[in-house]
Amino acid sequence: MKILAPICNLDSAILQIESGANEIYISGDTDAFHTLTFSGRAKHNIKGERICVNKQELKEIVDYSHSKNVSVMYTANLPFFADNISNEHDFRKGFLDYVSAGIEAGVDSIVISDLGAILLLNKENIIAHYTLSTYQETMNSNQLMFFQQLGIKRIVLSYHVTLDEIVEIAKNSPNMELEVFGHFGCSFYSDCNLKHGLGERDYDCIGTPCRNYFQIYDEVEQLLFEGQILNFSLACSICSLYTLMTNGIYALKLVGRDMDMRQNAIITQVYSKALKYVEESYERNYSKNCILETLPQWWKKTLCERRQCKYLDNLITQSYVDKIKGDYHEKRDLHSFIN
Amino acid sequence: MKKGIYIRSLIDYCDNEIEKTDVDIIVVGNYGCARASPSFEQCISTSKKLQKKKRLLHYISPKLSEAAFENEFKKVLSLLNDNISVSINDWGLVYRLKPYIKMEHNLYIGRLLTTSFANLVWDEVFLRNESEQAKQYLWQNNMNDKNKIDLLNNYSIKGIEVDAVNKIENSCRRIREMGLQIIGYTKDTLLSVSRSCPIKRYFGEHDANCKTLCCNKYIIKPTGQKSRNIYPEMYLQGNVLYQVRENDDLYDFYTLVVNENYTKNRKESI
Repeated sequence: MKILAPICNLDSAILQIESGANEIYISGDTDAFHTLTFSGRAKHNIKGERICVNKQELKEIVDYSHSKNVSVMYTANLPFFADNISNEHDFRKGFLDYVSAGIEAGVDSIVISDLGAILLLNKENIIAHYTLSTYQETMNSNQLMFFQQLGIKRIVLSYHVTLDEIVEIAKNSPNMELEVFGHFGCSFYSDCNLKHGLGERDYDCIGTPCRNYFQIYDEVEQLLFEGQILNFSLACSICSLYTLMTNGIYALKLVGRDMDMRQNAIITQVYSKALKYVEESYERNYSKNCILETLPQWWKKTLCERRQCKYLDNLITQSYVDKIKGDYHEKRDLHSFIN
Repeated sequence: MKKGIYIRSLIDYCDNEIEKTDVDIIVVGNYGCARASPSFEQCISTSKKLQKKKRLLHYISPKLSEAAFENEFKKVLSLLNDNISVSINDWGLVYRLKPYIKMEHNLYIGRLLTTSFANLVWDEVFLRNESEQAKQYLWQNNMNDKNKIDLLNNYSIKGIEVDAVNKIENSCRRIREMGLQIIGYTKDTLLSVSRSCPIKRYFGEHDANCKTLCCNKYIIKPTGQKSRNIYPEMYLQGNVLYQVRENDDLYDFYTLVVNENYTKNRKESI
């Protein structure tokens, strides 16, 4: 299993690779937009720091990464794609140019999300290794098959799948590279209309909306309680690495293209070290104990003590809907529906 | 244009309400939870009663987990065979249904699969420095795409659902010209759906009881004043977060569906 880490320039690529990343992902720049890119992020983060690269920088990153045997994923996953409104402003050509820039630089995979982008790349016969972004929120094997027939080679599963579901999907999909979220992720499905990280600045006060504190009222506006009712985000998958690895998961994604890269690199180091324990010991309890012993204190305090486990039992994973087969209706065959 | 009302459950939808309804279509279902969706039997029974009043039932199928998938597939196929129209919100279900879909089936792509920057709460912030052409491009509905529509035709899809916000009007016109029907939803639109159900979590309900809680409406207001100034009016029902909307100009949709919460609150007829 590979560790896939975010970068935003050559320096952060060097830092992440030295910290143990086996794969990195990066956004490119484009002339089609002033603020946005064709990736799922803007050109700058909320502090105004540039988080995408031009063609020359991309080539340098690819060359450096390949010299270290590290793959480069190029994000072209703006979660929107449609026909042009006029011939004068050709956003579809802008997208094709953006993808071509990645291919010319030698990236190992193009991460795409909108169905229209996939269909256009197929129609234009642009051959590459394509990864389906988590923006498509893949939660079942049939969706995986839908996109596999369209030429997708790797799929990033939803933030919200359980370990049992990952194992089942992996079993049903032997010919697909599966990537799962290792560290952090969103609270809502990707159709979320409280999206952020698309070009706002800190003075806009948008922040991370689902982590905000809210007051909750009933229908007659009686205050019930106050809290982070929309925060369903979970952080850590350290204790699930053995199961993920032994069930053939191809890559573990760490998020943070727009975050502090020094902090990201620390997280990469922890996962890299933990994964080595798992690979070397290949025994569930032994490796788990070794990992827990070496976790930084702050990690234990902020993540372990708060049960921020992505794939283990806690208040959030217990509140997932539709987890148990046949629970919501009695399990029945097709004929029983026919009168 | 047909008129519809969106309700979440058929449990409280009694004969009296069927008798007095003045809409053409009752849209029922849950975007986020198969368990909270009405059963096959409830749908069939209500559909039969509505047909006597020359009204139709339309079922919304949710986003699907691996565990929920097969039962929902069988249910949707059976509803289609019983002439009930269905909106689906999962590409896996589109794929699974393909070999079984006939021309007479009325299958639609649901709102979780049709998107636009116009639906985002802070689209004006994100796009404030973009050119007018970029804004107009991103404010379309993403189904205004010839390649997508060819694919949907290949899957015998009749139309799409959208949130009826006025910025997408031109793209809706083009989608309609390319042959798809458009079902627009107004007066409370979808903000977000999560796998994790806050109602189940905060009220500590187990699966056996949570279904009864998820028709209740919980109003959500940011605690801080700065946030209150920038957030829209919102409420939760189960694991679905809605935005209160009421003033968008209305495009000439194939069907326009109003959320039942709107009519309940205002005691108005639609």
